[in-house]
Amino acid sequence: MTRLTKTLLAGVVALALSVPLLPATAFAQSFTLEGKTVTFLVGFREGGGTDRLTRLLQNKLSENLPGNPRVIVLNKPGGGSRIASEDFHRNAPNDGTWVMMGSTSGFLPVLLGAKDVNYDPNQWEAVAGFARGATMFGRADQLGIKGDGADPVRDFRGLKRANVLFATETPLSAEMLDMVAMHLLDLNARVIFGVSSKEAEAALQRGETNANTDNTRSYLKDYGDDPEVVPVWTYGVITESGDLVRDPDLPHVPTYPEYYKAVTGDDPSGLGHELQQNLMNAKVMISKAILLPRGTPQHIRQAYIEAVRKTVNDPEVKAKLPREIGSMPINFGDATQRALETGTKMDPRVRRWANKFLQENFDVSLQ
Amino acid sequence: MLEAAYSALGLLTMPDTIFGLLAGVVIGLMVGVLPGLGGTAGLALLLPLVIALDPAVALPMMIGLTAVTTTSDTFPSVLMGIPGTSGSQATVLDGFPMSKRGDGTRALSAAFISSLFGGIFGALVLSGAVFMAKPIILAMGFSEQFMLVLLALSMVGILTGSNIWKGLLACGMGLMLATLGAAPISGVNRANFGSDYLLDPLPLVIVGLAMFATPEIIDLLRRQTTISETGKLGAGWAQGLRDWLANWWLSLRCSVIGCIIGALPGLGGSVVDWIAYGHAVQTTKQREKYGTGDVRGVIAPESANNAKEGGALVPTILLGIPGSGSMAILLGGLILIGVEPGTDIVENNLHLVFLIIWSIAIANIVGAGICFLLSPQIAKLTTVRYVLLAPFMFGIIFFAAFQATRHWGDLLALLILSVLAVYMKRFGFSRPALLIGFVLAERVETSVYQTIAFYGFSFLQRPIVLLLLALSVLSIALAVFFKPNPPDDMTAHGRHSHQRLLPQWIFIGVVLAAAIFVFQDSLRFNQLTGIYPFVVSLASFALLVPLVATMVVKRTAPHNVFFDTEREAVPDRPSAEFFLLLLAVMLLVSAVLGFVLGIALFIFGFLFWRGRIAWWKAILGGGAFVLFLGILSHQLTLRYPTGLLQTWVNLPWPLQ
Repeated sequence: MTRLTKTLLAGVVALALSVPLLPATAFAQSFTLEGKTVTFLVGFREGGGTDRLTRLLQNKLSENLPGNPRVIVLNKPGGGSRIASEDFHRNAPNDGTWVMMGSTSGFLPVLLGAKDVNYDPNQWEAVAGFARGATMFGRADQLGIKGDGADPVRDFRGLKRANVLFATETPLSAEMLDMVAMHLLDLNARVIFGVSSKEAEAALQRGETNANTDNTRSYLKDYGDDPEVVPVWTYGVITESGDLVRDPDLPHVPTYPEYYKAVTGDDPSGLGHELQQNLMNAKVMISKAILLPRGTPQHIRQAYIEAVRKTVNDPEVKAKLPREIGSMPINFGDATQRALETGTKMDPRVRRWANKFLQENFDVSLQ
Repeated sequence: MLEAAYSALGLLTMPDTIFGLLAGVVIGLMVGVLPGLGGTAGLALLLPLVIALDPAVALPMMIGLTAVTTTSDTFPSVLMGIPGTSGSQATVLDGFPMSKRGDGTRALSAAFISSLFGGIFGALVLSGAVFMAKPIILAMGFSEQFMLVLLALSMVGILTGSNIWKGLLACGMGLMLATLGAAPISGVNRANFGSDYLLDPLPLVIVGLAMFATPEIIDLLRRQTTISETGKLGAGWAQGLRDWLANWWLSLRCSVIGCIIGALPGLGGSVVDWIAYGHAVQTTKQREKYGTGDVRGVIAPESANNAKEGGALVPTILLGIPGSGSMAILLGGLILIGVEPGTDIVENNLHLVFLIIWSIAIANIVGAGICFLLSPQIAKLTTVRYVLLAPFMFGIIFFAAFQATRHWGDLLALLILSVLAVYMKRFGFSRPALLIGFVLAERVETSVYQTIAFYGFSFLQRPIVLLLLALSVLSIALAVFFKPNPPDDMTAHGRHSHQRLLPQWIFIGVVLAAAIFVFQDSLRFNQLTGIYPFVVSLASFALLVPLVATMVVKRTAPHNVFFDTEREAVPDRPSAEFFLLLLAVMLLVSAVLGFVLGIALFIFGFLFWRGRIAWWKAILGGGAFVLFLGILSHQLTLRYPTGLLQTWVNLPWPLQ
């Protein structure tokens, strides 16, 4: 290629990019990572859920990206992926050589407006989101419930009477979804903090707590065939058309809005419900998400979307994916970007409601 | 069951499986030797590999690796005084003095045979526990865990050093150190000095390295020319074995302790060695030898820390709930290769459980064997001129610290805590006590709150609680009634001199200032966040009162409350402050040129000016370390701390 043709080509590409009507995929071919190294940033230690998913995709992603770059996984743990997120926001080059596996715990501080958060995932370019179902479950004997969606109204009577005990890490966590859910239903739960999710699981097994929340996949693995520990509701999944439908892994179990309607007669509404939607998006829809740095050109993003699409459909990856994320559909591109927006931006009125809720119940507030 | 055991053994006769196991053992030994890298880093190294492997190969590989890191971590602990992993911090206390005495080989040999015994014992327990332990583990509720923490904390009493108030205050300092960063109950950030580094609490690895490694390296640089005072290696081989035989009962007890603590929720693996060490001291009549090179102080923690792995596997396999940090990552690895721990594995895949058990046993034998073979060679390091070793030791501990969170703050935290540790050593404040306080702090904070929240005071009616409470009382009583004999050298010219107390008063002033800082910081918060710093700072004030009172009352004569190693004769060499300053300069240079070049220049300069070796040899030394860092960064996907230089130019590997 002479210098002239190069310049011309660059001009053509630039022109094409400025014409939004043309699908950027047409130019994906002009983008190559040949001979480059792609750094796949993970904000957690090796071996955790986010790390495992990344490593599962790593090799095939390399095969499917244009130019077959070497893909390395860089673990930068700290502050529940906040440190890696700051680094990614500030320093990652937007030429397609850096990509991050984000997760709920990195989005939540943004949604909740935690102090000293200087990154905004909304400015990042979403490639794909891995939805992971979540469910609220409890001990049938202690709570007087049957669960599994068999008789929500009877279960509700049981829950109202029971002394619900729920343990979780901190008030300002993804489990706020469950705490608000119980609050909106007027369920009087005692919440004990400082308990990691693994410890909470052990506490439920010991019978010291009687209600817990987890992703659907872990629930099924731990209690799938245990009649004593039953799911009460799930948080469902949002389809591409924007409807909330039941969790494909727990199809008998009502979604939270269904449950709410069954026991109160009304659809959930109001500011608390809006908060639920923010939290549900952050916790379920973008449980894990592949993201490119802000300002990444659209044709690079498209190349990544294509590569990830191919990767998750690769038979080898496809066989192992359910082990990590269950069988929820994976969302791509704009759908992911939408979920990211709902999951990281809170209306000021909703924030006021959330603060009041936290203040009254747990003596803390969003900062 | 027997069938499953045989079929697992059958698997281990296949070349692939045995190769996997051996590869795991070798990698485990290598990461164990390097301070800061332990089972976690080793498994991280394996994760990309095991995805593609058959579970029958990947499983023994991962298990082999985790089983032996606590065998080889003894090398740096005993020979260099640098804890190889957090599991062998206590080994340093007596192992390193043995090396200094010239008994390095003896200490190593006793340590390896203890590790071997503990490891096999752990495997044995695991094979029984798989069928029986579930009810025991499930009986350990929040209140029982609280009592375990209390029991561990009561061990501080025995490790306080010569003055009880100073020892307890050191523990209080550890508890206060843990108030920095996010509060475990509310998630709210307490004092973090505006840095995102303190979003999480300070990493234990760094506190451990600062407490033990830096002061020892500096002290050696000032007082000795080689680690081994005699400059020779004792024979010691057979002696180490005889030591173990003479103390087999202690080794067995500590293995039991290791297994139990590893298996039960509440304490985690990182205090096992301290509890075993404390137990050894408590159950000995003549205890004044501990800390000066008593072989029992090596046998106890080394038996316990290998037995712990078998114990920690019990909840990991049975319940899918990891018992320690390296178990958490092992669990991740198991899931990655399609092995799902939990009831399922015991009911449907029992042969995999036995594959794990056999792998632990074989790995321990092979691992200890390799270490035995290597130790005469490696122990020769103790006869090398120390000034040639020290810069590399500094390089390694800063590298190790950086593995904690891979943040610039890791390096700074190590330096700052090292300064603290150097003065703690100088003024006779127990560093183990600080460490135990620090390790247990988070558990203290959460378990007190959780116990009260769940049970109120009715937790005192639970039988296991009462049993553990009785043990704690016994442990405290042992500390109170069998105080060590007053140390010798109560003269005006010894360590306990009552003259020139100003430096000691300044140190007390700094501790007081820290307590005031924690106290006033605690007032900013609500109860959930503020109660813990409030209580520990008040407790520290309370301990300062009798300490200061004794110092004032006894100021007319030498007393064990006074302690300053600078009152003793020191060879005519630079002060500790000089070496701390060198480290600070090294970090400053790193801030400009990046860590790799910073540490390389430091090593070069140190070898050239202090070591007085030829310039090309010094360059070779610095270059070799760069290569070492480069290989590790390549293998482990690391990015070293960068400096200003790296923001301007893109340097090639390995100088990034």
